[in-house]
This record gives sequence, C-alpha cells and structure tokens, in this order.
Amino acid sequence: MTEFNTAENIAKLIVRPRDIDPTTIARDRLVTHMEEVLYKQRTPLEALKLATHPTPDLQTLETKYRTVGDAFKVITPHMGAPTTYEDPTPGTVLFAKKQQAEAWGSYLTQVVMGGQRAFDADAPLKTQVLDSIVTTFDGLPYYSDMLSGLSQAAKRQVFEKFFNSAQYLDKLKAKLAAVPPGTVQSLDHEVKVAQTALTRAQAELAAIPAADAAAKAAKQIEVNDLDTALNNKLSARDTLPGRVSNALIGAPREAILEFISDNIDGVNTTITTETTAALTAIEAGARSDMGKLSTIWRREIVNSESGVREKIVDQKIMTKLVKAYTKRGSDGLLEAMLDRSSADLQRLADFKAANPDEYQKLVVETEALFLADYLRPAAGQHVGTEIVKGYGGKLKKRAIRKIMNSTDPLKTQVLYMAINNVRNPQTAMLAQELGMEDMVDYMKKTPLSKLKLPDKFKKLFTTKKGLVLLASALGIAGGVWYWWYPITHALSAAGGAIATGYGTASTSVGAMATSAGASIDAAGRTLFGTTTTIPFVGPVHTPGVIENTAAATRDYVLGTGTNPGLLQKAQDIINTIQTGRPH
Amino acid sequence: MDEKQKEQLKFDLAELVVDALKRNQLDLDTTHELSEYILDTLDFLDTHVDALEFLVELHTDWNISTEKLSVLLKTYVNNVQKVYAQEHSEEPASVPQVEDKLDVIKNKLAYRAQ
Repeated sequence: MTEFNTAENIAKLIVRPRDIDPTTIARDRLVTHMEEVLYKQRTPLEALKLATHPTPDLQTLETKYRTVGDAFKVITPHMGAPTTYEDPTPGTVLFAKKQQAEAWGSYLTQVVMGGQRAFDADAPLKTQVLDSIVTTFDGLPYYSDMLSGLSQAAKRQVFEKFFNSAQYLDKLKAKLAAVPPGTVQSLDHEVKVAQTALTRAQAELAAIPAADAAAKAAKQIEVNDLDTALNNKLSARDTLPGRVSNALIGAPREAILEFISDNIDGVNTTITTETTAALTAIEAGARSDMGKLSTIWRREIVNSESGVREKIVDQKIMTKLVKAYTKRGSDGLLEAMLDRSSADLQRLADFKAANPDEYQKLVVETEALFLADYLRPAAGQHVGTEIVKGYGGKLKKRAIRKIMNSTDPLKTQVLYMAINNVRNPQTAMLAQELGMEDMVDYMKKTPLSKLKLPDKFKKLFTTKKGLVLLASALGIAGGVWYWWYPITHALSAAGGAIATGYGTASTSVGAMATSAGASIDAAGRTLFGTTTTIPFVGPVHTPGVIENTAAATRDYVLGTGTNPGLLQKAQDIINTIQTGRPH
Repeated sequence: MDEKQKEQLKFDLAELVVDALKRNQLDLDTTHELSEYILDTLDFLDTHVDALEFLVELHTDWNISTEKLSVLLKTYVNNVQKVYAQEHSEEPASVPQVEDKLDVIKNKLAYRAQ
C-alpha cells in the first residue's frame, strides 16, 4: 500500500507533464494524463473528502474517475467482462486509483452479496447488513487497523453510527421496498418450481384430445399464465443484483464524511505508523547497500535521512543551478537560487546596484553553499553524482580553487551563518572550542528576524533544506580549512553536530557532511599539496541595507504612496479576470 | 504557511495548470515549461506572501487568467492581509545593540587570524 503512503504522495503532489514529450502528445491526452496524475496522488481519504465536498472541477473528475465515495454506489458484482480504468464496465468498483479499485473491488462486491443475503433472511436486517459491512472493512487496509481490538458488537456500533447518522438505513429500506424479497438462490428455486409447473401444464395440454376444444383452450390459458409467471421469476432472479445495487445508490455523502471524520484520527495514526515504518525500513535496509541502488532509491534514502520529503537534492534543481553557474557564473547562480520571478530578479538587480559589496558577499555565500552541495558527490555519498557526471572533475577542481583562492570572508561567513542560524548546543560547543563564544552569545540574542540576510536567501538557512546545505557546507569547509587552520576535525564534525541537533533522522546527513569534508580534504591535498596556513583576511558580515529587508518587504506587499503593493496588484488581476478582460 | 497549507498550495497550483491548459490559456510547450518552473519554485514558497507573489506572476508572466486563479488570488490576498493585520497589532521587536558585539567579534577573529 505504499502508493497510498501519505508522505510519499505529498512529495509528489504536483502535476508532472514533463514526463511526457509535449511535442508528441495531443492536448486532450496531456490533460487526461495530468488529471490522472493529480487525482491519483490523492490518498483514499483525500479522495473521499473531495467526493464529499466537490468543487465543480473535481465533480467532473469524479464523474470520470470514480472515488471512494462511489464505492457505496457502484457495487454491482463484476460479471467477468474485461474492464479498463478509462472505460469501466458497468458493475466494476472504481476508486480514486485503478489499483485501489482492483484491490478493494472484491471486498465491496461482498458488501453487495452480503446485503442480498441479509435482505432475504429472517434475521434482523440491520445486524446482518452491519456484519457484512464489518466483514468487508475488516479486510481493508487502514480500516482493519482502525477496527482491530473491537468486539464484533463494537464494530457493528461503529458502522451503525455511520448508518444512523445519515439515516442511511431508513433510506435504504425505502429503496429496497421496491425490491422483492428473495436471494438469487431462492428466486432460482421459484424459477424451477415455475418451470416445473409450466412443463407439467404443457404436457397436460398436449394430452388433451383436439376434439375437446374447450378443455384445451382452458389449459392453454393456464400454460400461458405459467409461462408469464416463469418469465417474471426469471426476470426477478436475473435482475436482483442490479436492483439491490440500484437501491444502494444514493448513500449520503455527508454520512460518509461524518463517519470518516469520527474515525480520522485512528486512520491517520495508522498511516503515520506505516510511513514511519517504511522510512525506517528504507534507512535500515538500503543505506548499507546504497551504492548499488538506482538513483531514484538513493534519492529516497537521502530524502528520508533528512527527515523530510523535501526535494532537497532535486536533480532538476541541481542541474539548473549547475547550468546557471557554468554559463553565467556567480550572478547566474544567485539568480537561479533566488528563483526566476521577475520581481525577485529586479529586487536583486536593485540590491546589487545599491550595495555592490553586500551583493558580492551574497554571491560568495551562495556560491559556497552551492558548491558545498555540488561537491558532495566527491565523497561518493551524494545522489547528485549522476547529475555532475557530465561536468566531470574540471568544475570540481575549479570550485575547490575558488574556495581556496577566495579572499572573501568565506570561512567567516560559513561559520557566521552556522552559528547565526543553527542554534543547538553542539554548535555552541564548537564555537566555544574555537573561542567564538562572543559570537555565539550575540547570535543567540539576535532574533532570526534580525539576521543580516535578505528574506529569500534567509530561507536557505532557516529551513531544513538550508540546514542540510549548511551541514554539508561545514563538512566541505572542514576539508578546505585544513590548510587554513588546524581545525579540520572540528568543522567536519560540525555538520554532524548540526544535523544531529535537528533530529535523529538527519544524523546521516551530518555523516555525509563529515565524509564529504574528509573527501575534499583528500582532494585538496592532491590538488594543492601539503598543509598551508592561509592568513585570515575577511571581515565579519556587517550590518547593511539588508537589515531593512523587513520594512522593504512590507512596502512591497502593502505598497507605498503611489506605488501599488503586491496586494493591490493581486486585486487588480482579480478585477481583470472577473470583468472578463483577460490579461 | 504550515505544511498543510503548503500541500494545499501544491494541489491548487497543479489544478490551476490543468485548468489553464484545458481552457487553452496555455499551449503544450508552455504548460511543460510552466510545470517545470512550478516544481523548481515550490521549495521557495514558504509564506503567504510568496504564494501570492507567485500567483501574480502566473498572471503577469504566464498570461493565466482563469477564474480559478482569481479564486486563489482572493484566498491569498486574505491570508496576507491577515498576516499583516496580526503583525500590526504586535509590538515591534526591540533592535539589539549589535555594533559593539560585532566589534568584539571582529577583533577576536582578527586576533585569531594573526
């Protein structure tokens, strides 16, 4: 059931038409593909919520791709005819996902069949229906866990609550009033009885002499009546499943939603437990043999190690950054990292023009972090290995040289940012070890909102993604600094310390950073020879115009004087769309 | 935005693209490009302002003008307004006297570097 794993789905919650070559696919097919991707990514519960609170668009989708809500609607037994997801044969159970339908279909068919038995029996209708439902849901993922430990009576109560809350049963009974009693089996028996009677009457009719016209006519009428009765019995038998199913149509969505909402905590707990177990299994089982795994699995491992399912090392992003860096150097890299929105680029350009020194520091910081992440493949640990294959070792050497030759305050900046943004005891201890307690003290007293970094860039350091980059940066820096200061081990360890400080799930990121540091250390020795001490020349990051970012952002959003802010721009667009004058 | 809101934004953006494609406001190549751009940008959409800014950009840079975009814009306009209204009601944080400390740090670093 990993495909229903919430965390996994969340990580993929975006249409990915790039999986398809747009030049070879028709628009309709692409739309269908995107809708399918989007819709399939819903978990069953999400699909159920959508089914119960449909938007017009989703209603269209729902018609196209049956949802869990329809499980209570389309539950006629499948007659064995072939079916497809796009064109379901009547009688096939379909949910949000095709696989789901296939997996759950048999269970829900049992609901119908159980219903048939119940409706025909002398035993209390409700109990039999509820038992049938309980049996069905006991076999379903999530729900079985939810119901485990409950007695049969308690399980009945769960579903009775559902039925009663919606007055479902009353509605069902009303609908079933039109359905004659009798199972397929009992109706089959009645058919046989009618068939026997008809056969007997037909024989009697044949035995009547032709001269006795009156008797023959009377018997003929009897035969005709019996024939009609037989046909009725046959019809009743053959159409019973369909009629029962039709009677079930119309299960109120509100009832389903209420039922789920009453039990959602348990369901979510189950999902969370499964997710955690899956991640643990991945980490425990696969990491040791990581090198043999396909790229996608290595990505999974790295992502899970980070404790989140963010696209920390998204190959596409890295590729974009590498391209930007190789084509346009540091400026291009910074622009790419800040994203390509015109507003950001304009702000960046303005910032560069007004504060060339600050801008240069930003470039250095960005470059350092990028290179740190980019260089991790050197340690053989990073999933980005595949990405950088095409760029070979030339850029790596260039990167190392840039770090080594930089007179910019790279080393100060990295440590500054580390302490500034990662406030855990290990980092503080490291700073103490380095004699930088004052800096730590200052950082601790400085709110994050006062950091001397622009908001966009700050995200890199105040998010988990940023922390991972930072952890690796310290690992790399540890290797590079070997020639600058004899503190290799301390800085290499800092990556691990930071990651550890942010949770056990991230521990291995620190290990990666440490390894990366060691690897760069070795690479540096190869490139540059023996240990050298390079004098420190960089200034500490000083306050500049950046600290006014908060105010600037506020102006940007709310506007100033004659300059409309973001809110006003948005409102203008809303007005434009609503007055039917598309941009 | 919390994680739940971020996930909702992802859903909304995906549906927005599909909707725009269906309504012929995007051609295939542009859809392809835009979806890549969204994927590349999602990591940076951390706040309601980010989200609103991105939605505005979808209109100005990508020419999307669907009703769905209008609905989303309204949502995030409201969200941003709430955020700023909340901030306005709070006392501004005091600015720490950092200059002296920075000098201490600079001196210490300079000393260590020698």
